[in-house]
Amino acid sequence: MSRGGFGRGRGGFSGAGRGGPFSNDDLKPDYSVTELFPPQAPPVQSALSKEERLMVARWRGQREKVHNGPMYTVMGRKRGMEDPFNDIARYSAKYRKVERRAPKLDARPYVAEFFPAELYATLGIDEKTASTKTKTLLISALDTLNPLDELADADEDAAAAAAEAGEKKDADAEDAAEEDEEEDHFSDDEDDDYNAERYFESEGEVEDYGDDGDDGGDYY
Amino acid sequence: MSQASAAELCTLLVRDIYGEVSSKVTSILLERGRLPLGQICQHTQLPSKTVKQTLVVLIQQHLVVHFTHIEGGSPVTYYECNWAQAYELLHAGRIIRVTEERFGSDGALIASNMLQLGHARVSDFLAAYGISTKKARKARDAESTAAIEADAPITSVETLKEVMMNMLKERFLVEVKQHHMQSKTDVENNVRAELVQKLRKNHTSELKLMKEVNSLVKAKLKEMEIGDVSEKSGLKRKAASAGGRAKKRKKVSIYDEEEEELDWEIDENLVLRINHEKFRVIFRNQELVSLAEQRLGKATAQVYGEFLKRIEPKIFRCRDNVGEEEETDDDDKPQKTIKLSCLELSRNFNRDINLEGSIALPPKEVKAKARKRSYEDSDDDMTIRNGSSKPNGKSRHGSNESDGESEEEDEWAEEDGDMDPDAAEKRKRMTLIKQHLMLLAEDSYRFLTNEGNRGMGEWSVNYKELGKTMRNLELEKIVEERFESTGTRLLRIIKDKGKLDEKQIANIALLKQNQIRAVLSGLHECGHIELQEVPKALPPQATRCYFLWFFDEQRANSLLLSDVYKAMSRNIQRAMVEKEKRKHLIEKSERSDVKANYEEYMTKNEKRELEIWRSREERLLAQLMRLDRIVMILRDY
Repeated sequence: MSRGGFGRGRGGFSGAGRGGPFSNDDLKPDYSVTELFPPQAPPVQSALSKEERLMVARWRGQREKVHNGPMYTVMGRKRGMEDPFNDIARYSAKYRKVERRAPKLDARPYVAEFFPAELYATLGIDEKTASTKTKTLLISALDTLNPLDELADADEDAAAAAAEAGEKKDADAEDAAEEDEEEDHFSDDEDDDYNAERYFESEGEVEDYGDDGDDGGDYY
Repeated sequence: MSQASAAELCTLLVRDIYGEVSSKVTSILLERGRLPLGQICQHTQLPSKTVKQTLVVLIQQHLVVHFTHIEGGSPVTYYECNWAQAYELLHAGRIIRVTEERFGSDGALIASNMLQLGHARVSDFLAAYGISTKKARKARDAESTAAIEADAPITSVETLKEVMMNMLKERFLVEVKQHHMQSKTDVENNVRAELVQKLRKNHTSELKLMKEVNSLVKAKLKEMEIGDVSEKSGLKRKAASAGGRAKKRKKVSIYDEEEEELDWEIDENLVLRINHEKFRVIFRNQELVSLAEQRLGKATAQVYGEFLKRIEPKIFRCRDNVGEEEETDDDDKPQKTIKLSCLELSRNFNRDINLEGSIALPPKEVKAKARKRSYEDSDDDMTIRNGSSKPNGKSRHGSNESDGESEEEDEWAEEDGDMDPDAAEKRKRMTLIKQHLMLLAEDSYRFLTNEGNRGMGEWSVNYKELGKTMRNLELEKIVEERFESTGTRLLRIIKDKGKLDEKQIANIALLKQNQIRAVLSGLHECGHIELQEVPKALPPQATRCYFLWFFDEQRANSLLLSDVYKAMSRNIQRAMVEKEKRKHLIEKSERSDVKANYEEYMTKNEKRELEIWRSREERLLAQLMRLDRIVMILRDY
């Protein structure tokens, strides 16, 4: 096919230049600018099986337990890096989950021979004191496992799961719609008595969010 | 190559679970290799107190190993990150699930706590249990719901002990030894130095000495890694009657009898931890079963599952006989094959598995069966005592089964001389099991290998080959996803034929050269296939070269692995970003006052938003677990 075209082109338009071979073809080159990142359908995750959901639930539960335990630490904020709006002292801080800057090591007994000697002081092990005996391990109670079982139960009725899936989709769609609204909602509009940043925001929105604040504000 | 992405993933995992400070120390150790304390402080720019505390946490979790040298007269301790262990953090969910299935919620509780604690002395664990349960039980009593009581997990320290012992026996838990806390190289050097010192006298030539030491080191290291495998390891005989214990036992009368029978108990001085190797074996078995289910259907997969479960106690590690060095000494391999006969399998076969009608019999055998049934029935009517065993045996002989079985048949006949319907049922079941096993052996994936005819046929599992098959399948799946069927086709051709020219590939694939060119270069770009150039004449020129495509399995796998690691890192990062977006909301929901009256304090919008976040995180994590599955297939199996 292409060879035939080539021959014909040569014969018909001798000296017609380089366009020759294609002159008779119905090729219409597209000169428009191609998109740098043409739209592509992202691969969609297939629905989670029951076993997978259980596994994820267990993993999450485990992580939650570690986070609540003595080993989880967060980096302290450096001086001068505080957020002037969100880091003000509040009454609600009283209720806030305490996050450790340093692990709480004296809460449990250790098997000393597994640690290098230079860390013994950190472990709180002295050769003389026998106080280490009194320490006990911190074991999370069974109750923490239970919420996950509830998840399993909920999972069992397929109807509920299906409904949930539908809900999720809806929620996602809505979520996409209010993407920017969400932004404001979480960065500034904390439910506190005084929100300084709101003062600087556009006045129109203040009223809207004022309602919201009142809803939650009562409980202080 | 895959190092960097693996390191990134491990850092992120540690960060997700143990927080920022731990992850910082981990990342420095991963980046720079082994370091002494001072340098860690220097690189992390953290005060030495914090670093020390963090190191304690990491060592406790086995994430960091350490070793003390004598350098210039004073001991210097080096720390090193054990990245494989950091990766294992990802398996927590799976591990808890598996123990839950095997040992019920008691086991899950122990596993979960052990994972949290890293390692713990048994006595400490038990002591802690006494205290924390009291609280838990009180709480439960306050709720006073009868329904929960039914599956109320652990009721006493004794039960806990028993479950722990069983877990130790099954090697779900293993003893922690000093060498677990040190890096592999250090352990090896230690062992080597010891051996050299011991054997020096016997040898005059250095070469011979080294040879012997090398072989001994290998054996010793393996032994150390696997640990004590004897039945009673970690257990001790019960003290006859210690005053305090006797009292305790009286309180829990239910467990009295069992305890006395057992006569062994867990050694309370033992330090235990979760045995990740064992769990990997179990995960591999699960993976194989699901593969069998795809190929051969549910019933067969269930039989396969039972089979694998039975031989599981004998397998300590996934890549036990896959190690690179061990391929050379083939002679001791045959002994290692773990066989299981159909007879043994059927003895404690799970009764809940319904095999009836799972295999459609060819018409001829159905007739024979029908006849057999009629015999049995008549026999049953007349005498149940010594009825159907003989004719049944004969009819079996008639339906030409292999000779080896005839002995077994007789054995069986003797064993249950009184062939009541129960036994007949058993036998029928056994035949069915055998058929399923044969199906598994005949499949092109070779799920089982026939090893002989003893006990109605013996079978073994060739894990090495199966691992290869799984890796291939996984790779092909990914190629299919990326390049559609053309890609898979080309890949298979190249795999099958070795090194090929583009023209030859086009010929074999029945496609035009320009059609496959883009696909081939795409495959090359992704690292699935490699290109080699062979010059035709001596001054090598690009125009006068053969370009041969070929497939290098190891390289393809390692590249893919690194891709998967990277995908996992991105996944975790995405989850972190999503979380950061909702930081304030999550913080609020975790406040103690909000937790107490959740319904009242959270607005509708907030609740919905939290729900969205939770479902999103779940999906991200599920994806992480799926990727983890691929990693295990590519790396561990």
